[in-house]
Amino acid sequence: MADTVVRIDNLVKRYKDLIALDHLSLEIKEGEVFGLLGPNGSGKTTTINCLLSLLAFDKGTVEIFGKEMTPTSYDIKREIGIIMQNVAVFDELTVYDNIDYFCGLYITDKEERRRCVEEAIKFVGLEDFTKFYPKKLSGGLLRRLNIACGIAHKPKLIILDEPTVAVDPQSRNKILEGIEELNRQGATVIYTSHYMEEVEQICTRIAIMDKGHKVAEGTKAELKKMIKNTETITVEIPEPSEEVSREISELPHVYKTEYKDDRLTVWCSGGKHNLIRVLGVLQDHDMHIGRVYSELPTLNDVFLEITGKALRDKED
Amino acid sequence: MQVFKVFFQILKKKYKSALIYTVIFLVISYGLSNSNTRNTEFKESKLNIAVMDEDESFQSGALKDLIGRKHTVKSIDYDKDTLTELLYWEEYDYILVINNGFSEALAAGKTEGLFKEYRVHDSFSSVYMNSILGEYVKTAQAYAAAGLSWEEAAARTAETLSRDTEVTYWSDVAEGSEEYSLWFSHYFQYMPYILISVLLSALGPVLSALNKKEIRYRTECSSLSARSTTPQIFAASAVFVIALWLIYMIAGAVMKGGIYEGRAWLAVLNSFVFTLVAAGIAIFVSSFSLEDNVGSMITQVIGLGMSFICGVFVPLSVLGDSVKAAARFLPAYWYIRANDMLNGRDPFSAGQFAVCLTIQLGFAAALFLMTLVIKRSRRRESF
Repeated sequence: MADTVVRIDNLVKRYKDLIALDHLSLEIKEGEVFGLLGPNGSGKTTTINCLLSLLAFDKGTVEIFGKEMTPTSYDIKREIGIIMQNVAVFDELTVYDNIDYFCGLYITDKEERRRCVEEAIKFVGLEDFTKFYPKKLSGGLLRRLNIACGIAHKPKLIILDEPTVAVDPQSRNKILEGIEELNRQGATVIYTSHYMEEVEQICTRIAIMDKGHKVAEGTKAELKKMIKNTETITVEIPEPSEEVSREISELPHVYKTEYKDDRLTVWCSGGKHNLIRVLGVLQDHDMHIGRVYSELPTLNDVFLEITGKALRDKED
Repeated sequence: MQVFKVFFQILKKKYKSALIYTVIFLVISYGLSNSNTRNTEFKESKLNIAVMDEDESFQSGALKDLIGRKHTVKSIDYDKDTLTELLYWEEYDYILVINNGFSEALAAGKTEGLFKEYRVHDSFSSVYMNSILGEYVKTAQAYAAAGLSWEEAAARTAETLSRDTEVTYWSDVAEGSEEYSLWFSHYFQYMPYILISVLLSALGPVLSALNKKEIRYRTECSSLSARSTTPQIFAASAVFVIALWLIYMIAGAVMKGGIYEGRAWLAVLNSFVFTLVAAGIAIFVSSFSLEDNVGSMITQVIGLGMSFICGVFVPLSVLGDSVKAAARFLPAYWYIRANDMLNGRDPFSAGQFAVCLTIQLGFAAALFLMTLVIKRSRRRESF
């Protein structure tokens, strides 16, 4: 069994009357890509700041690599790479000098540092921009520089706090591929985001947060099993008669139907061949069928069912 | 020494405005050193007066003689246009026409209609000449009224009005001394402005960059301890501040043409203490991590504001009591007080000089302490 890299136990953080983290407990194993998913203001960044001892908390404990994390745990900090939500680079330094500076906070040996910096530059694909100043870089390239600054010293635990905010799709894919590659190379990754697609794509285990609480935790499959919905079928048809609607509602495993905007949506819970059965009823009544979709539940469905609201409700 | 190194890497990008301030300061100081002349003697003004005597009497002749004792008088006979042209081209300062019937009018005690004049309106020379003519008329009429003949009255009037007033020249400009000459005290006089401006425009932005929240958090997340980071920033700042101060001291010595002597060393000490104050201001302002344009605005407000209020640009003796009372709460005031003691504007007292230095050091210490308090309160704040 893999070792525990991060253990957060009963963490409480208050800002005056606001409870930012409410008895949060998490355990992250070595080699995982652990996703912290939740809308803005759910407590993801506060969790990261408490984890890194940047923020004092009111109650609870944080252990990293089996040791208690404190502001002076420099041996632990040596093994952590942090990529902040806001780009943290010097506008006055070139791409190379920025990476060299942040790498130098961990590695003092010049030769080793030079090697690490060059590898980091290559890893994020900034070879052609080493002499550029950050203000000359596009948003995507700037994010890649931010990542290079955080990973150049080859940390065992990498924490990425919403690294793809305001990034174009191409750069976003590059960043996500890079994170997967870092994980393949042996790093444990904590990834916070409010983009469920990203979390679904790269995370091996996910904790869903809302209002400082952990509302669910598990692998993608485990999370999806927590909810009733297993399949959502959508069919474009003219408005069905009451008889058609009743027949579909009475099909096995169907627990909810809705007709809106020329589309019939059928929610199913478990069972097989639900789509064929729904289409069978429609054909029996000679209904003209347009486009047909069958979707598996998403993390948004999980969040919606657990909290009663969509993940993107609070998105910026 | 990663932080120490990055300090100077950032400084390389921020030095331009500091360089501009320094070059302008040195050029102005050099200019002052070469053009520093003083008015120590009083010399009466001598006007060019043209006189057209239409009366041609004894009285009018006596008046011309009197004017001619202190001014250059030339008798002319031109038309009005020519006279106006002569005034325009400043060949004469004043053109006096003694009207026909002047002697009778004078004897009758009249004061109006005696003269016509062509003059530059509201000029110094016209006011001066009108005053002379008025005095002549009143004095001569007074002597005549006392029973003197016109010959005697004219002679007495000429004697009375020819007496010179004793003039003592007083200047607020200090004498200075051989060790600490006047122009050299100017060099040190303007130093508060230049030190504040340069340190706020160079040291301030570098520290602001290092204090930027994201950078600070990332550095705090690293394995570099806070006990190592702060001393590195402090050491780099100290190297820069002392190097800058040394540049000014060396430039001063070069302009002076030799090594400092006597009181000049006290001026050097005074400037060093104020350099600490200026560094304290820059460090304090930078703890707010301001944007460059805001920092630049603050540089102007603090640099110019403090300099005007505290007597850097204008001598303290010229400033009002309320301004000086307010200036006491600013460090540049105490710097200038100390400098005034050294250049002789105020009597030198070693005790008072030490008080001025101590108060400046107090300001520096207060600024450093306030910065520490701000840093501590921010250390564990949230994003």
